[in-house]
Amino acid sequence: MTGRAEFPLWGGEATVLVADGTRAEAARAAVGTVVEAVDAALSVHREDSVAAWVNRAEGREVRTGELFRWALEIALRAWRASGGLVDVAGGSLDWREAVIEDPLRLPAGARLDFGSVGKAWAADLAAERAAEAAGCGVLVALAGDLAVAGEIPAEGWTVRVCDDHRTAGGLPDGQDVRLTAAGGLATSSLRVRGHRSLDGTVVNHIVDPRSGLPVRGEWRTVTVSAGSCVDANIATTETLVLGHDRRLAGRGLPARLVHADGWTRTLNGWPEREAA
Amino acid sequence: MTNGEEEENAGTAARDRSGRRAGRFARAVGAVAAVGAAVLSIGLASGNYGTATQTTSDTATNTRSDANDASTEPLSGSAQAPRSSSDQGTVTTGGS
Repeated sequence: MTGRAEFPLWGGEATVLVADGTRAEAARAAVGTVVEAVDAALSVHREDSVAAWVNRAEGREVRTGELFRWALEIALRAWRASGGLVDVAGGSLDWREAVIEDPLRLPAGARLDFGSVGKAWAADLAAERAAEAAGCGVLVALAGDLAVAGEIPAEGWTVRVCDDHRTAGGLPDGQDVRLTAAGGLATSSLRVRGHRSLDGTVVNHIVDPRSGLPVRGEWRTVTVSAGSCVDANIATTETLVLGHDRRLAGRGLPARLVHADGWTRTLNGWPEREAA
Repeated sequence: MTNGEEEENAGTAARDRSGRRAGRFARAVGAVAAVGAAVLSIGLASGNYGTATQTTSDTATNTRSDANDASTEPLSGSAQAPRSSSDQGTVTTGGS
């Protein structure tokens, strides 16, 4: 019988599903270890993280450790894979000239915010560690970023895909799908984490690199299934930045998109209709 | 190669990658405490007591003008696409 554990995380919630309900605590503990380590390395919301020290270094050398170095490799991959559209440096660093080593020396002015890429990476790491610790299949959801590892239950893992993953007030509307293979599922949306600008306009958190302004594409929410949550996140983010789904269609990754007007489109084998 | 063989190969490759990452993560976390101390000493020695720069957004920003499809790299796919479900999911993915 499957089991479940939950705990608050990064302004949302972490959920751990295990194929063997007796192993829920072992899986939850493993996830906790990962998120604590990733938070200590990458968070820009605490002054003692490695990222915070790197952002204060202003050209000086900082010893970062293996986890942060690894995260930089992930960030570089995101930048390369997306053609520069997913950039944790926000344009403050020329990745073609960056040398990823420990100790690390970045040019003065470089600022890193791993944001959603870091969260997706944490989900991938957490799922693998939890599956190993629990000795069974797991699904790890970190505030909406999902990763599956270990042996998948016969019925798969059922997930609700929606515009906004927050569940306060009940389960949000969306499409229910079964995940039957290891990998990741990520959603990026312009509907949430918006904030009010100085002129009173509500803007979202993803910036269009071509204009420097918040994204205003035709798609408001993009969900992608990929071999890892990081790769899924790269695909969702770049699609919102681009404002069209042509690159995503060419990547061959199953995807579900919600138009600004509310209708949905599916790509590359994503199930088009909910089961009866 | 049959679909089943392709899925099996994809699964084997995924397990291999997972195993390598697990070892690297164990080494990385084992060094976290030492790293924190080293970073702190560098920061103090440099007199860098300033508040950490905090950005509140997931900026997907690129100043290059040549960000186009030709410069992208492939992303990994899962062995199987999601399938329809008549059950209600109790885990959600959505904007975050």
